[in-house]
Amino acid sequence: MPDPAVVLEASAKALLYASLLVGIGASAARWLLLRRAIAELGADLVPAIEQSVARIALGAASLALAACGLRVWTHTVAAFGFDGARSWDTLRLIALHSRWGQSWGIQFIAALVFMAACAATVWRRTFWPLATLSVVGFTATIPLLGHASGDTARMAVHALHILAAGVWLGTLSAVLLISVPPASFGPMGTPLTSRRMRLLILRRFSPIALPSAATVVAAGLVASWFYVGAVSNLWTTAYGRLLVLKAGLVVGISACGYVNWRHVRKLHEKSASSASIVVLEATLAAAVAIVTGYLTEIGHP
Amino acid sequence: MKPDFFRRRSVFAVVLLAGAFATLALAHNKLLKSAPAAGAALNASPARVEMWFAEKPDLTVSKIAVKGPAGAVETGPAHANAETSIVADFKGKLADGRYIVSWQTAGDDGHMSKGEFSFSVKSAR
Repeated sequence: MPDPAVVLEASAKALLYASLLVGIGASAARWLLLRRAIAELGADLVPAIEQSVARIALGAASLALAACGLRVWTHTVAAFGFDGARSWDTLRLIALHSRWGQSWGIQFIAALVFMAACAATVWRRTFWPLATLSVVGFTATIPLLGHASGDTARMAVHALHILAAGVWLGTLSAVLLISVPPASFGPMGTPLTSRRMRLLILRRFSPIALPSAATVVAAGLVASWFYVGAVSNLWTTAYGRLLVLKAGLVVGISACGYVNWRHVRKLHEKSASSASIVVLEATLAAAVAIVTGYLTEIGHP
Repeated sequence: MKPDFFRRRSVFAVVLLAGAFATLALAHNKLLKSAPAAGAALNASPARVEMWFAEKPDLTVSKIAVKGPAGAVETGPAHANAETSIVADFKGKLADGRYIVSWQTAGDDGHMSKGEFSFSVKSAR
């Protein structure tokens, strides 16, 4: 029976990871993906898509900030139990006076800056560079809390792993969440629908997905080397078994990505299977965020 | 020479460099030893219980609780004695019997470490 405090801490962290990946993905979609698809989407539609991506980034930043706040409560539960976590004094003790709280404070401020930058981007598109810088800065604060803390090399690998995962899976999720008003599709008779718009964008995704997926795997392998120790720990410890599960999910996502790439290349408007594969890919990505939340909370060998 | 050759070598070099920075992995803060030691049979009541950890314990979340044959044993608050140890003083003499020490602390990664060990007291009469 898992410790309820660990389950709570892992859940808050999974929420943080999922929202952060989408936040990174929104920036990646803005800078790396939309520019490639302008010719096919049409210059008139791109501003509406960009505005939608900015709103997605703001939603992700708000969720990340909420997850940061939630983490104080879950960490207080882990230290003082549910009864202790009802007291404002213990919450304050954890947030402001514990060693964990010192790093958490930096992370919370970075989350606030990220949210403010995204709100500014929804208001004016000229703030996109600030939103992107702030999400990178926020990502750099994530390894301050957890297994990597206190070791520069491990922290760098952890941050790189998250950034690459955001560019890969976060971008995919952000594209799925894009929603533009029907009027943005132009005059009646324009043969562009929401589904076709997403397919046109995703058609340009593979040159971004491949290097970012490779970086995720490389950084993940290095991190595994840091934390797993002996190979036998992969099946003899809870940490190792969870890591194997995560690797299996990533293989599943990669397989979906390959199938999807083949579908999108052909670009069939009525390709329902392609849409369902993308949704499956995003669902597996969410599962990876959940497993990672647990992985980063339980002790490694 | 093909440009791919350099690309492959660069990727290999980056992975190798990252690996070169690898340090020994540590789990959550681990209990290294204690006084009284786990499983110890003492012939006199100890004045305190002290625990040494792999990393400097975070005192704000560190707790020590001792349970004996007559229930909870009164102790002072857990405090630091050395760089990596926490200690709690007993407020009276321990009667004969088995005592269970439950502890909690956190290390550099902030994660809670919890555990317990026991010792026994059997005074020479």
